[in-house]
Amino acid sequence: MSSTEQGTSSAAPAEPTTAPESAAAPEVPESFYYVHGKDKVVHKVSAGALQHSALIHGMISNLGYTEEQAKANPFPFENIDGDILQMVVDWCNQHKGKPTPPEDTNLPKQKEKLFDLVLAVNYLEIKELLTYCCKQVAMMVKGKSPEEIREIWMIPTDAEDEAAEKEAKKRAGKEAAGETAAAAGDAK
Amino acid sequence: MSFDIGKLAEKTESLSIDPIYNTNWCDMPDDIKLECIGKMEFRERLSLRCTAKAERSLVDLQKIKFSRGSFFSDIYSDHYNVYLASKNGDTLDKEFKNAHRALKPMKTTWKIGVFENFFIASNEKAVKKEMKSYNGKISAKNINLHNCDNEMAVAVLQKMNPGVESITMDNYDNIRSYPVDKILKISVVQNASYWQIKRYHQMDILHKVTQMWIDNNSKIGFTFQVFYFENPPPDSSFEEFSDRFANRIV
Repeated sequence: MSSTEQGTSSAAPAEPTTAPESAAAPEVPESFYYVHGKDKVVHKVSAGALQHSALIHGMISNLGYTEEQAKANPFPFENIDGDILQMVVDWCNQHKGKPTPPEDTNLPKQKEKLFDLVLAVNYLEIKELLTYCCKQVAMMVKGKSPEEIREIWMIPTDAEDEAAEKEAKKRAGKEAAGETAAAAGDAK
Repeated sequence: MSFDIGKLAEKTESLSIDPIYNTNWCDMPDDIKLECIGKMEFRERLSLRCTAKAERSLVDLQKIKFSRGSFFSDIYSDHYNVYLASKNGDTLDKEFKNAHRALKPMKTTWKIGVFENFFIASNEKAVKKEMKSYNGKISAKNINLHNCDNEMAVAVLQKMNPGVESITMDNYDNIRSYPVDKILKISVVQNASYWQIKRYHQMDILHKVTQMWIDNNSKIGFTFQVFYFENPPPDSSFEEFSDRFANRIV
């Protein structure tokens, strides 16, 4: 299993402040967790960056995962392509502890990647990134006619849909008939 | 909190058997599609609505906010106009030669739109017929009925969804008498905080509106304005009004 260090480094020690000693909280080193996608490439992500994902955050809280245990058992997201997970990790790192801007211009423009990203982000429950992605999806069809939208998003016409449904029913009927015949043959 | 390896194994197992995602609009779950539709401008929504039945149903689930909408017909030049404007300035302005064709997109827009201001100006028979047979509702905060006769005014007001804040009626033709009793029974009229009628001469409306407010225990602050441009009112409506409500006027 290969490994990439994508996370941010641990926080630097705090500068001395003029606050009374009793009020100064001890510096807590940042924890890191590990995730991998379909390509098994492991990404190291800080707990702060992972706060964006409600799913991972929930898993960490519910499982009481320590850093050592996290290193040994990266969170597997086999349903997410490696490059898509990389994008998600990068976004989480970039926006760690920062207010999210109203626009994000770094999102992919290619249809396939964007849809994959939308689905991954939805799965990982990253609300702000999902909002950006959906806006980007909406922008894909800006100023387009119904025909153009159908073409861009590969939306079948109602007639095509009905034909496909008929075909599926026909196939299911044939399969059921085949199974019945086989069962009758077995009974004999 | 202790680390539960059993729980983790269970969780990771369930993650691994999730389906591999496809990358097409049609494979997106409906809630994501709805989120995307919510980010679209009204033109794109209306276009998407025309692509397939499934998309139409989804688009119809999300209300579109319009800052302004209007429908008017000009019987002399035989044309019909539909105008829509969104809050960010996106507009659609289309002319039609036939009432049915013009009202088709208008009805679709009424179905999925919420208007800040809606203006309707038509007295035409074909439009009235279409309006009366329209089964849906219109959502608007402010409605302006311009040159609509009795039949048309009642038909439009009856189609309004609750939430109308102001109603303006202006009739420059020879209609001087709306069917007030009928109009006062319409709930959006009873609940609108502002109602204005221009060029109107049946001044008994003053005490009728007042009585309606009293009967409905309406909030203080509701406003009714009626004014005429030409001859003074033929009756002594203000006297009648003050006589009727003498014990309530402070």
